[in-house]
Amino acid sequence: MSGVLKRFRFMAIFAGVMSLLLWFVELPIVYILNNENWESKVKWIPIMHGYVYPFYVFTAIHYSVRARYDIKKMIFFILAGTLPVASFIAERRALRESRQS
Amino acid sequence: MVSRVNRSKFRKSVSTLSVATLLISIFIGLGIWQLQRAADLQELQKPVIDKPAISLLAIAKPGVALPDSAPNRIVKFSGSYVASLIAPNQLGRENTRESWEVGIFELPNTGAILVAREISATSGPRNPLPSEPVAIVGRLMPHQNEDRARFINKINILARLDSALIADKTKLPIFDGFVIVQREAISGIESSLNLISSEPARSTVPGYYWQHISYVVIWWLMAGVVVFLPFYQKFKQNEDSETDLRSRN
Repeated sequence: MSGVLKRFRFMAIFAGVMSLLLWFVELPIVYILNNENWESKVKWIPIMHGYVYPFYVFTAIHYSVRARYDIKKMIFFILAGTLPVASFIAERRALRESRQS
Repeated sequence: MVSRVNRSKFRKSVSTLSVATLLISIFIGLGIWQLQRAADLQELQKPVIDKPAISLLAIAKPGVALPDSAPNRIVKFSGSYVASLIAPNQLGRENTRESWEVGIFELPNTGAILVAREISATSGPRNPLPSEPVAIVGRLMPHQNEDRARFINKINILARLDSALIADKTKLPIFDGFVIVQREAISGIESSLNLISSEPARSTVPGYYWQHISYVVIWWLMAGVVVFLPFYQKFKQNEDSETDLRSRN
């Protein structure tokens, strides 16, 4: 369980950071600032975010199955990777619940 | 009683199956859409091979929207310039911003067209427009829809290269689109101009190839998750009831 939890926590933090970069750095540069030079410097963010999220989903499913979560909670954990702060909340919750059990 | 329970179970299964089928088809569809965008992006990156120059009148008519086959064609025509304008903040080579000298060009007794002649000099006098007959060879581009120069309200400034903005400056009907000069000859003598990059206009697909491919992975993974979840629910229910039985015993 500890390996599964560690993997999930790592991916939750990684996906959360990538989401923050996507929402608050890449998207404003592309859609508000319209600066081509900056755009070329941040183009790795959406690509990386796109590949990090599937790995996050795998770890979230693996952790939810091991923790015997019900289906609603599993869906919350899967979707948490799409919003900037939600994956951090999921990571904290997973840690708290694993300590309690 | 038993049949009522069975019926409710059957209804639940059917509704779960319908929702799952709907979600799976949506996710697979979104994946296919992203795959198509990735393919479109790759297609747009291929080099465009120019066809031989064609007479402007053979491909476009004044007062009529450009046909689909017209944009990006190399066209030739002759006539004379009647007015000079500046189009600021245009996208030049390597995404640099530059001002362009734009002429209103009249084809005798036919129509007028906007001709982006050269990059405007940042200092010193501007190249005067020739008064003699001029022959032009250049790339026909679709009109611009978005203003490049905002908050500029001067008479000789063009906010965007769009024939709609010059309707009051010529009596002739106006061609849709504009031409970027590749060669200009005044009375048979070629002009030396600071030519504008006449790369073909490309419709753009936002994003990057590998970004779209990653979204294909995500959407199809989501379809896989939807397939997996009902089985997980069943597995979870069985496990819970087993645990319940064990605790009762």
